[in-house]
Amino acid sequence: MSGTLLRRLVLLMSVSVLGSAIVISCRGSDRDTPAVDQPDPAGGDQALLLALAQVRNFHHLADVHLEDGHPEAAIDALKQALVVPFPATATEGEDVRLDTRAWLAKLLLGLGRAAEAEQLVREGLAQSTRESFFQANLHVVLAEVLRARGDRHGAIQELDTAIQIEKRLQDQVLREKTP
Amino acid sequence: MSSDRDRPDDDLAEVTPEERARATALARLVDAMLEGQAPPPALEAESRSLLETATAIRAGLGNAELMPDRKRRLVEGALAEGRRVRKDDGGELIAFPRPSTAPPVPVGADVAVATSTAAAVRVPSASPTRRDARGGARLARHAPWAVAALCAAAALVLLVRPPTARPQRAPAPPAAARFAATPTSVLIGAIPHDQAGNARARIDAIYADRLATYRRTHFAGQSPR
Repeated sequence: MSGTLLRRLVLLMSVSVLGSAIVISCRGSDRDTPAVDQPDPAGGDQALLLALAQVRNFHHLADVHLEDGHPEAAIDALKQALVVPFPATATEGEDVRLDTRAWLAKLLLGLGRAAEAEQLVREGLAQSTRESFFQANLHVVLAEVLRARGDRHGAIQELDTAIQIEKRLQDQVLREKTP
Repeated sequence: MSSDRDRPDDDLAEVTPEERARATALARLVDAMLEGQAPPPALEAESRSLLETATAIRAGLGNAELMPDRKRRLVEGALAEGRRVRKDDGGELIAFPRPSTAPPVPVGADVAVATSTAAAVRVPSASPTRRDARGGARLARHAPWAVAALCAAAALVLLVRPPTARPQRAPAPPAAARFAATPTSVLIGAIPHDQAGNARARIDAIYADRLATYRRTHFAGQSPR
């Protein structure tokens, strides 16, 4: 009877040791192997979202300042939005900056600072690297500024440029959507 | 060499009295064999051969049965053998009464029965059953230690071996490919002239779309907390 008990005890202990070793081994391999499917905190996706969130916050801040009757504070907020860094591969950066310049130019124009607005818009167009609806929109804003400054011919040219850009983009979008 | 099968059918009708007498004698021998009687000690070679053939045919048909006396002796012998094996396992040996004289297997008896009878009676002292019992006891004694040794060895290997890298999944695609969101030209579209300064609404739309794409890309298949 004691022999049987001893045999069972030995079996139980050995199986327990084996189970513990398996558990320890598996936990060790989990600890030593880095997970590969975790999103990289410094990856481009999160950097783009952070940049967009910053620009968005500056836009909301400018809106609040305008509601409070502080256009200069709003202009300052939008100027800070222009310098928010974006990932190099993100085209959204250029789009957002062009749009910010458009709003900023309209604010400056509303304050009677047409020359400053024209300079701001022309700088933006010069930095633009590709045709986009935001670029076309900036041409429209420039036309508005030129019209305010009495340059009707220039305004017509800018509006015509905007129309051409929008036409090309619309055709491109339609081609991409058509199978 | 001609045989009965080679004869034409009309020749079968011509049975001589001598052949008829031989057939009758053989029939008597077969009847005696079926009744369990021993054949006569002196028998012609041809008649013995025919009788053995009849015996084999009967055994092949599966109609063979042991005579009651033979059956009783076989059962008693098997039971005694079983009792002796159990006693051996316990340490005490008692002899079982083997039949002192094995009954002669009659010539007329069933061949299969004769064979099985001999095998059953001539059971050696160290039979396979006893050997199996001893082997089982030895296995029961040593098995726990063998399993323990195997477990210890496996545990040692698992603890000592360097952690092997699990199969890596395919490398994550670059950020641009993963973040294949809707292009802003499609998302925003043409900007109406009277909305030229409404940049805040557009960046809200862009941010919302990119955030939704990010969540869809990175948290797909994960349950919400």
